[in-house]
Formats: sequence, structure tokens, C-alpha cells
Amino acid sequence: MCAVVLMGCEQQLPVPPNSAKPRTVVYSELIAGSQAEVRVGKSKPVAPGVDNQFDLVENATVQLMDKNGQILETLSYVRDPSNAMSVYKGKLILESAKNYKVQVLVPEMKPVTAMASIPPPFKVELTDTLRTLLNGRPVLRFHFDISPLPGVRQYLVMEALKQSVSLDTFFTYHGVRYHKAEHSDLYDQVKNDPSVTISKDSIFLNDYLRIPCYTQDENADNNQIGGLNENYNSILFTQMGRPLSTNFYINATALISSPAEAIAPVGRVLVYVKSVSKEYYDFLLTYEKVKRNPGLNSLIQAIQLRSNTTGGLGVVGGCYEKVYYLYYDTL
Amino acid sequence: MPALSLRAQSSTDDPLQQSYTPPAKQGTILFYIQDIQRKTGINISYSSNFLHLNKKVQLNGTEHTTGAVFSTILQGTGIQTAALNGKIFLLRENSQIQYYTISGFVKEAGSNELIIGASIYDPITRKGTVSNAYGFYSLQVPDSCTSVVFSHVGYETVLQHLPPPDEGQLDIHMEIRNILQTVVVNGEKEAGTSQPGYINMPVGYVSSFPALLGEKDVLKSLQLYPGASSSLESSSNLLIRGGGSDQNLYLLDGVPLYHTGHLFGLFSIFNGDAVKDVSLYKDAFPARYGGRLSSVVDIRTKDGNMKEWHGSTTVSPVSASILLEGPIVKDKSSVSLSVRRSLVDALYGREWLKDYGKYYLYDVNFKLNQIINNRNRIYVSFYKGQDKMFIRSENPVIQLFDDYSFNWSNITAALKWTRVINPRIFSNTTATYSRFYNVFSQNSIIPLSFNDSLFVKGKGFSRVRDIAVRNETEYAISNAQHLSFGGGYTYHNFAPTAYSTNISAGEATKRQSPRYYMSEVTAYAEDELSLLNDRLIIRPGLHFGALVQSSSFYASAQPRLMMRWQLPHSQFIQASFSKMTQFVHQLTTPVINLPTDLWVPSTSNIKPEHAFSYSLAYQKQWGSQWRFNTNLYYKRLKDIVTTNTVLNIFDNSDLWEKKVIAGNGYNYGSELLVEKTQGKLTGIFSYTLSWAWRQFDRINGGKMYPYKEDRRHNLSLALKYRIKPNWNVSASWKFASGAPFTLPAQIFPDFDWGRNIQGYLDERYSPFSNSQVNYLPYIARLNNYRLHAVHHLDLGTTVYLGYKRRFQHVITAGVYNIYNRSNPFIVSFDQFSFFNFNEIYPLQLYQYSIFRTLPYLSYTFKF
Repeated sequence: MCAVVLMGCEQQLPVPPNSAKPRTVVYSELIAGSQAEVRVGKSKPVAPGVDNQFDLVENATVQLMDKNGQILETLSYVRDPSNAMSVYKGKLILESAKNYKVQVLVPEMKPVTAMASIPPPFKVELTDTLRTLLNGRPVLRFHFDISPLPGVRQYLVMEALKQSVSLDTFFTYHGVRYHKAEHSDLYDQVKNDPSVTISKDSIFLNDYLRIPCYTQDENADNNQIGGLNENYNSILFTQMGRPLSTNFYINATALISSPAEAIAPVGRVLVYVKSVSKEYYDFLLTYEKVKRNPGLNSLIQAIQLRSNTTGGLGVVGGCYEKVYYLYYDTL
Repeated sequence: MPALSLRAQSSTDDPLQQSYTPPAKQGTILFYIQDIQRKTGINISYSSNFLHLNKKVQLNGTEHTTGAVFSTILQGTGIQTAALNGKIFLLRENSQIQYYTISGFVKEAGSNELIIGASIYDPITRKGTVSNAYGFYSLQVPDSCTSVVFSHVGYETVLQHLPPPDEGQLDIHMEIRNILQTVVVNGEKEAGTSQPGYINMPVGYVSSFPALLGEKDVLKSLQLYPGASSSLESSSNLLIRGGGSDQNLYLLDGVPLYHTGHLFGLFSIFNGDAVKDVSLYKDAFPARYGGRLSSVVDIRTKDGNMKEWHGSTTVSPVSASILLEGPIVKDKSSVSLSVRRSLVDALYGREWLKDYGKYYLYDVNFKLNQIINNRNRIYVSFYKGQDKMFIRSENPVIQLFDDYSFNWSNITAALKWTRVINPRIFSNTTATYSRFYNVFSQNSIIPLSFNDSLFVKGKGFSRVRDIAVRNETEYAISNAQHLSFGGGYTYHNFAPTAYSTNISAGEATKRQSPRYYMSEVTAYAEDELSLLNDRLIIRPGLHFGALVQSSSFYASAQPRLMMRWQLPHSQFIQASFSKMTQFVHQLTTPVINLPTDLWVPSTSNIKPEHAFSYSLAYQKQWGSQWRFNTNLYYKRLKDIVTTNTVLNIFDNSDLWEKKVIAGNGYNYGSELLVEKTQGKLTGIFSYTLSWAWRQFDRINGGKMYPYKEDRRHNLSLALKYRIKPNWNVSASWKFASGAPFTLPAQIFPDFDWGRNIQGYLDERYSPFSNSQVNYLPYIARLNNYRLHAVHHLDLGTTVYLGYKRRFQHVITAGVYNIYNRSNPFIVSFDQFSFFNFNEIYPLQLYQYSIFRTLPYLSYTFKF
């Protein structure tokens, strides 16, 4: 009855005026052994007329510095229409146990800086995997043993993504290699020619599916967020000098793609075990809460995201990671 | 008085030496005086003002003269004899005023219902007392006092001549002043016990003003007073001076209650028909109360008519109720039974509700009142209230993924024994049982693949069970000093959450649901002193509480102090300090006043909560009709607990301690009340200016932010006008500033979305989140925005038919929210939407309202 009345009295209210200026948004995971990659975007003040369309920022100057502010390199803009945010990439290989500073300058915007320390290498062993059931859901279980670092508090993150793959067909005709999709007419003409060789290639796309993951570990910091039987973006641990031996579960529905169902794309599964900087960990913890429930109605207390950027929004985290690649789909 | 000079008499004609043989060894003083006068012809002069003529006395058998008889019968009275001119004078000793104690019960004539809060005072000195929660009073009066006034605004004043007719209790029966004229007692207490931080509502008051759907609601009536508000429009959630509803101690006949809402708090569980008296303490807490931080709501139900059977039944389009009361043995024992049930399912279930689900509620109140003798009385009371709700997933309005059912109930029982140990000492001993039980279930279909799904049938419950025994004793040492003391023991059994499903757990760890078994021990003492000829009243007190568990022990000494300085012309200034400690915490789920709010105890990790309340008040009364008071208060809350995430009730979380954090609160403000309690026009005007802040280290960057129940202005105006003796009209207007709400200052690209990570697989993170958005909120400050103010004007009228006859009819009608205001119930930034991750759409605020203009009508038949 309440619901009837409630929905019967819906009213749109104008968003109040807001004189705030847009801020530069910076996301970056500085991964040891990889090149720096920084995503840049712009926020939108919540004011009358606001929508959820975000502009690309193609004119930013993104610099990677050492902890003292010495510029190590200036990252280059990567033009890729599939990106939701503007991506800037560097060439320098990042080192573990090192502090970096990222500075992003966007014309007519406040400069943004953020410090991130990449944790030292850590030892993780995958001792077992098993397909099983967890609260009625098919899951894939990983058993990880993670050694502590003496005197260092480690912030551990486990997550899983499925990366889409594109299966491309190429053909070589008179010594020239053609992409079938781009030269379909030619392909149709010559495909029966005995001199034509046909090959297939898998291209991993810039497109991912987040696979829900689970834990049953009381020591997981996910217990600060929700229950042990809920699913999460990532499983989070704070390790303080003790070995961590835990089961990490990912939803197994997405492992194999079924064309009939289209629940998950064809691709490969990436399972990450990361040691991350504290600020990044704090961000992920609050991000998990916000994704679960942002609290943008008057009955729920809103959750504030943690951030380590100065002058802007987002997060720049340091990360040492171990990635496991799982191929269930036929590529 | 020249008593000694009167002794200059010769022994021969001394009337005191005259021979006299008493006719009996026992009799009253008056009996012997009259007998001496009759047999000896001696004129005896005395004043009944100071001589208790009906006092029974006993002679030794050795008295053979008039003087000897007087010497025996006046022993210990402070009366001396003197002879002059052949007369005997009975004179009070110099400088000695004799006091004696009168005590008894104040009762309603015709029903013997005990009257709480009646004023009993000497009309000359204005010194007096007030009948307690059991109608008992004890007053010491000087022998010069010729009469005592018994007064209560609901009853005709009784002038009782003194001395009382015999040695027994002085029970007073007061006639109802005007059965149709409900009045407020606060302004009446001429003995000076009324205070701004204390509100007492007599029976009938709750029906004085218009009410939502005509449902008489005790807690909503209290919200008319300053410092008391509600969290949402017409919610029965009672918020006192910036405190949460979990910070109120609700006592139903002395039994603590943990959940007081029907229909998610729209109505309180207190049936207006069954309630006799409501007391609300906002500050200056008497030492006998403890266990909650912000207020005490002490509700007493009707004892039952001792003289004759009466009853009433009320029917409205949404509910029906029946009240029946009467004697089992006349003047010895009585019962009162009231039952209330909603009718929505019965009347409209087939056409209207079938698409949405089902809902009903009911209450049963029962009380047995047995007089053992004039000093001992026993009460047995019982309450059960139940809500049952079922919501379909496939309803035409809200798209839900699951079927939900909620089924919550309160049961309380109390056995009380009140005893007048002597005219100055009154004691009550109570054994209580209180249980709150909530069962909820959820039926879900969770798709696992295109062709496969999981049918989850989940069931959870939470329960609170208390068994307690308590004693409270009041000792009227003198009119200037009242001592009260007592103690109690409570056995708590909390099972905050237990959840199970039909599906195979598989690898999931089977976890025991948490259970807590605790002992709470309390003791208190309080002394109320009247000093400087009653100009200064000081009431120091100490409440001690301790919570004992196997894993932790907490003890708290809570000092209380109230000081009042009486000024001329019925004015006073009052200051008070109270420390209150709360050993139990309520963890709230998102929606306010859900039965699924969990009660958990303090543990080795979670400390008890404390409040330090200070108040300063001024009050002036004009006669017994008008009252004005104003109050300044400051309340600091320490170690208060809040959840740092959104709790999911559908999870068997014994790890709740990881989800809560402790912090501080600061509430302050001022209150103003103008009240007219008698006459054709009665009413209340109240205004509260208040602030309520919270501070937690890990929220809002550690900075203070407005509490969700912070309201800057609260205003109530309620008026009732009696057009004819049997017809009145009423109006009330309530206003509350907008509630705080967190509006993002900016939005920015979602972290996953920005990295081309989609997340549609198994997207149901929790029961509350059904959609994915491509943005994250940047929240500069919590609760930085205010919703629209809530206000509504309600009109009502009541007509009494046949009110002088045996069968009476009462028709009540009215209109709620007459100007059709859309008040915010929920406001959401962005909708409760089902947009997909990549859709672009405008972002707006959406306000959902519940009540527009709503008429009501009810009919009551009384006999």
C-alpha cells in the first residue's frame, strides 16, 4: 500500500545551483614491471542540467616523476576510441619498492599531483584450484599462500576479470596478407584459390568483464563492507607479518562463454593477486562500499571515496601483481 | 502561649485532680474528652487543629483522676494540660508544631482507577506532593493544617478536611471534571513538580488533535512538544533533542521495549485505547531511570474499572478496536482488555492489495489489578503486538527481484507488587519479560546462466529477550526530603541476526549465528530536598549500571542533579545535569525504523555509549490555565556507534563489530512552549531551535557533520475549541525544517567504467543495489544539502452523542494535510533506476511523497 502511494507521488526536483568547477580525474595503477598508464578525465559539478556523459581529455600533460619531483618521463596520449577515458602511456619500466609521483596538467584546470609507492615483490603461491559450489553458485576456487614481508604491512587485493577476445581471420594472396573483415569481397573471390593461405589470430580487446568474487575468510577486510556470502569486486586483506593462506573464489559462470547465452564474452580470464599501496587500498575499500550502495538517497548514509590526488579526483596507486591467465574458451 | 502561668491553681479545686473513672481502657481521645465533660461537668477547651481527636489510645488502668487520664491519652502528642477557672485547657507545647503523615491512594470516583500525578497540598503553605505512578501519595501536614487539596486538571478538586476520619489510609476519590474535555496536566501541578523537561499526558489527550487516518498515537502526540520530533512525515519515530530513536527508553507498564513501530514506524505500538498515562523525560532524569541516552517514555496502561463493566469499540475504514474493563470482584480486582487490528487486508485485500502482497497488524493489551488489602496490590499486565507483511516481487508498481515477507512482534509481561510499608514508605517490586522477534524471508530467483537459475528461499530472524526483576522504594522522610532508592537485575538474551537458506552451502562455511547472554545490574539512590523554605529544590541522585558478559565487563556510575529556584508569581529557574549510559546499540539498516534494525550489546571491542546532558530552564504559570517555559540544552554523546557501511540483513553476520565505528555527538538548542490547558480553547504552541552533530574519525574526514535527524526549526501549533459541551473542533499545524541529505558536489567517471571494465554479471551486489551507473559521486561534505521542509495542516472534529446516557456514541472525522502538501519521504539523486552502464541520461533529484490530503472518519460506541 505504501508503495502504491509512494510511487504515486514522485516529483522531480531541480538540482540546486553549484558554482564549483570541474576537476581533473586521474586514475592510474602503477604496476611494477610495466609502463606507466594514466587515465585522465573530467568531473562534472552537480548542477542543473548535469548528465552522466563525460568528456575525453586529449590535451593533458602527464608526467611521471620520482619522489623528489624530478621528471622521469612525459606520457603520450593514446588515441583509442574504445577508451572511456583518455589514456596516457609511458615507456619507462616501473620498478618495485619505489615511490613515484604523477602530475597531470590540463589547460584551465587545477594541476593534479599524486604520490604512489609500488610495494616490494611478494611471494604468492597458487597451491590448488577447484571447481566447486559456494552457496549454490558454481565457482572456481583458488588456494593462495602468501608469505609476509618482515616488518612490512602488505595490502593485498585479489580480483578477476575476463578479457574479451576478437577472433580475426587473415588470408595471404600473392604474398600479401589481408584482414578478412576489411577485404571480404576479395576473400570471397579468391578463397578457393589453392595459393591462398588462411590463418586465424586472437586479438585481446580493450574490453573486460568483472567477475564477481567471494571469500569465506574472516580476516578479509570485506567483512567491513558486507557479509561473507556476498559477492565483491575484489577481496581485500591487510597482512601484518603472518602468512596468509586463503581460498579465493570467482564466479564460474563467466569462465566459458556460450554464444547462446551471451552472459560472458569469449575471452580469457585474468586472476590478479596484488600487493598495493595503502592509499590505493583505502580507495578500493571505499570503492567496494560505493559500488555496493552509493547511498545517494535520503535514507542511506552516503559513502565518501578515499583519494590520494591533490587538486583533482581519482586515485594513483602503486601495485606489485601476479597475474594468472586462464583459457577456458576456445580461441 | 502562656501555658505555664495557667498552672497557678490550688490542688483542691484543680479540675485535673478531680476523681474520674474511665468507662473503658480503649477509645479515641475525643471519646475520653467527651466522657470527662459529661461525667464531671468540667469544661475542656481544645483545638482540633492540632489535636488528633480520632487517635485511638489505651489506658493503663491506673488512671483515677482527670489529670491522670489526660496524661496517658496525650502522651507523645506534645499537648499539655492546664487548669484555669475550673476549666481544663489542652494546649500545644511552646514552639512545637506537630506534623503527622497522611497517605493513601488517589482514585477516580466511579472506577477506582488510580490517578497518576494528582497534586496534594496544603492550601495555606502551598507545600505538597504528587501522587506517584501507582496513585500513591504521602504528605506530612502540620497539626495546624485544617484541610488538604487534591487537584488534577482532569478531575474535580477535592478539599479534604483534616484531621482524617480515622487512623487508616486517606484514599481520595476524585470525580471526572468533564469527561468530554481532555486537558493537559503539565500546567496544573501547583506543588511545583512540573518542569520543562518533563511532559505528562493523561488519558484522552492523544485523541484531542487530528491524527493520520484517525489513529490515536501516543508518540505522535508527544511530538507536539518542543524537543520532540519525528524522522519522517507522520512517523511515530520519536526523536528527542537530536538523539536517535534507539536512544529512547520505552517502558510499557515498566517493561522495556526494543521496537515501537507498526507498519515501518507509521504508527506506534501503543494503543491509545489502552493507555492511561504517558510521561516523557527529556532531561533531569530521575535516578531510577537508565539504559538509554536521550529520553525516557514511561507509558502506563489502564488498570480496569473496579466498580462496573464498561467498554467501547471503535471502527474506522482502516482499523477496529475494542476495549473492555470491569471488576472481577467489586472493589477488589479488575481487568482491562483492549484489542486493535488493522482492516486493510480484510476490506480491500481482494481488489487492491492482492497485486502487491498482504499486510495486517494487531495489538492486545491485558491487565489484571488485584487489591490484596489497602496496603498491598498486585498487577499483572500483558501485551502482544504483531505485524505481518508480504510483498510480491511481481507487483505493478515497484519492480522487485524478490518476494519479501516480514513478521515482527513484541510480547511483554509484567507482574508488579506495590506495598505501602508504612505511610511514608512505598515500594514496588516488578518482574518483567520482554521479547521482540522479527522473522523475515526472501524468495529469489538468481539466474546462473541462460537456462539455469537458482531459487533461493532465505529466512532470517532476530530476537531480543529480557527477563528482569526490579525494586523501587520511595521514602518521604519529611515534606522537605524525599528519598528514593532501588535496584534491579536484567538477563538479556540477544540473537541479533540468524539467516539460513534452502540452498546447499557447498564450500561456504556454516557459521553459527551470534548469541549474547548478558546480565545487567542497576542500583540507584536519589534524595529530593526542599531548602530555604521551599524556594530551592535540589535533587541529587546516582544511577549505577553494569553489564556483565563472559568476555567483557562494563560499569558506569551516572550522577544526576536537578536544582530549581522558585521565584515569586509561579516562576522558577531550573538547571540539571545527567549522565546516561547505554549498554546496547542499534545497528540500523537503510530505511528508518525497520524491524530489521539489529540490537547488539557492548562487547570487548564496542564500548557502551554515554550522554552528558545539561539544561537550563525557566517557567512561568498564570493560574492553572497558562504555562510558558523555555529551555536551553546541551548534550554531548560519547562512544556512540554507527555502521560504516550498509548492513545487509540477509547475511548471517556475526562479524558486525567490523562494520561499526564509534564517535561523538553534540546536540544543543533551545525550546519554547506556550500551553493553555483549560477553558473552551486549549492548545499548545511549541518551537525548537536545535543542532545535532556527529563526529567519527573515519567519516567526513574526521570532521563534524549534521546528524541525519538534525532539524533547525521545529514548530507545532495545536488548538482545540469546544463549541458545545459535546462538540469540539481541532486543528494542528506541524513544521519541521528539511532533513540533511548528502548531495554529491561532483560526479566523475567510474573507476571500472574508465578502464573499460563492465560488470553486468551477477550484478546484484546487495538487496539494495540493482543498477550500475558509470559515475562515482564526489562528496565534499556529508549531509550538505537540505530536503524541503515538512509541514501539514490537519483539521478534525469530535461529536459526542448521548454522553449522559448509558450508551454513548463518538464520531471523529477530519482531514490530514488539508492543503495537499507533498512532503519528502525519500529523496534520491538519480532514480532508483534500471539504466544500463552506458546509457546517457540527465541526473536529477527525485522526491517521493507518501501522504497527500487524506480524510479520516471513525465511530466509537461506548457503554
